[in-house]
Amino acid sequence: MEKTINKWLEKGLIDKETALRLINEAKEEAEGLQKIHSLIALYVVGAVLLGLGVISFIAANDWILEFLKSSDFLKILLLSGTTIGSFYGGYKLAYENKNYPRLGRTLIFLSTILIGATYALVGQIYHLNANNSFLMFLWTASILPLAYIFKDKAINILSIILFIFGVIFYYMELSFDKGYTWTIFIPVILGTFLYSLGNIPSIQKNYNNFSLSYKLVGLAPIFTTLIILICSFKDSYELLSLNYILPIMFLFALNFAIVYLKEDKDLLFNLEEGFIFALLTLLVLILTLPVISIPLIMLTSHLLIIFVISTGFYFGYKFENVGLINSCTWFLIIYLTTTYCRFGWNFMDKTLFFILGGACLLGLGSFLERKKKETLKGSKWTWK
Amino acid sequence: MEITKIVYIIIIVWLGIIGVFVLSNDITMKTGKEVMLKIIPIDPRDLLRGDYVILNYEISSLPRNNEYKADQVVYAVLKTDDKNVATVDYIDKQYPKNKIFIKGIVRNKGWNSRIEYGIESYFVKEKTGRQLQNNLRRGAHAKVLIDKNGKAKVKELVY
Repeated sequence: MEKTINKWLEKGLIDKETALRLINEAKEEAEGLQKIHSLIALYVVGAVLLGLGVISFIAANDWILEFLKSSDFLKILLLSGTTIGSFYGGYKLAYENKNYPRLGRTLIFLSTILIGATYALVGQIYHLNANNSFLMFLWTASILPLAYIFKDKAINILSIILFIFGVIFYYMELSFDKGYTWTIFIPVILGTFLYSLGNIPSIQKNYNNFSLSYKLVGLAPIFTTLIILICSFKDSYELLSLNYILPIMFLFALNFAIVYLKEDKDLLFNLEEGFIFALLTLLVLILTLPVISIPLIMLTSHLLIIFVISTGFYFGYKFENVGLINSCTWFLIIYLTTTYCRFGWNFMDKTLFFILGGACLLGLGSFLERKKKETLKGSKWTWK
Repeated sequence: MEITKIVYIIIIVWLGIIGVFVLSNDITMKTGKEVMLKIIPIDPRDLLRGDYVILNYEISSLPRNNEYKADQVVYAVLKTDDKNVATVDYIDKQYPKNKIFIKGIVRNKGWNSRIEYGIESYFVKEKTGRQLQNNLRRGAHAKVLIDKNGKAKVKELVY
């Protein structure tokens, strides 16, 4: 910021006194922000520790609970009271009295952990089956409204994590133990669902932060599956169970609805939706067809990965979004390394394999770094 | 809608969920008929709720080539001996009337076919799971309460 102000001073846009005042104000603001950030970090770490403490207290099922063993009702009452107290107290501090907004928001976040601990306690008292998806889905549904009402990114991320665990537990409970459920089906379904949430027009418009979280978390499992598909899979799965087909149909319907409802469809939106439909079609073909062409599936997976990476780079540079460029760089490195190992290992002398691979990656890294510097030079990202 | 009202609604919904959760399980504990089921335990740990013992019941076993589909709901109709130890009389796909029965779901995982009744976890104090597991290996029973809808809850372990 100081450099920019000095440039304004050199160009005569501002006088020396104004420049000095601007620099001082910018410094004060930066210091203030730093203090606030460290305060937020303190609150969040405190809340997470408290939440973990309560959960481990329940998990321990130990002397304090033994002390209260006269009544299960008392245990539930105690934890419910703490949860509601934390939530209501947080709301009062952050939104009604507004005297401690950050502490208030942290207490609300703490209550979203405590409500799950309360459900876990009830489950423990009645010996409900452990690790059940119902508990996770119930917890997610209980805290999701809070994320949207208070536009709280931390609660939204917690709900995404819980939802992911819920889906994993759900498929663990069903009578499936096939590897492809975990390597192909669940990652694609989860990733596509989360990514689609990020494209829902009202979420994009009113909760842009949430939209980015959904897309970023959603893209990781999708990418992992595509990498798995270019490495190995069997030639047919012939899976016609409703537990597989229904979620895919739901995702098709959801994305048709998103395309229908979106008013200003820009290039990025069209590309994203095109990618989702292509991915879901690929999943249906892999899971249902009695005979599938392995080279065709591998080629399609390669094309989809190249599409994701190149689109990400294009829009990353266009919108000067360093986060997106970095993610795409990681995706590119993983993709190139996997492809190189997949095809190079059997066809090359091992010494040549390592030397050539290492040299290519170093060259690529230097090229991408130079490109990033050139593109982002002078933009807001270079000094912020 | 005013945000304060939404906050009150969320509090009521949370308390409602906890209440329904407690009541639905408590009714089974208060009104259920008590039977003893023979168990074979294994010991794991739950991330959220600590030490627990997985209870594998004799009445859970199904022959490998059975007529039931994966994830199908079935009803295990029980008969008891003079010590109140229950065994499966027969398994019904329809809701049985005027019988003691447990509602379960068929799980087919590879070669292993069994019925899951929702009473397969028993939570214990931290660091006592392994000891309990050893005790249970010598032969044990679970005292189980079953309500009229076939919902079962473990009351205690007897060994």
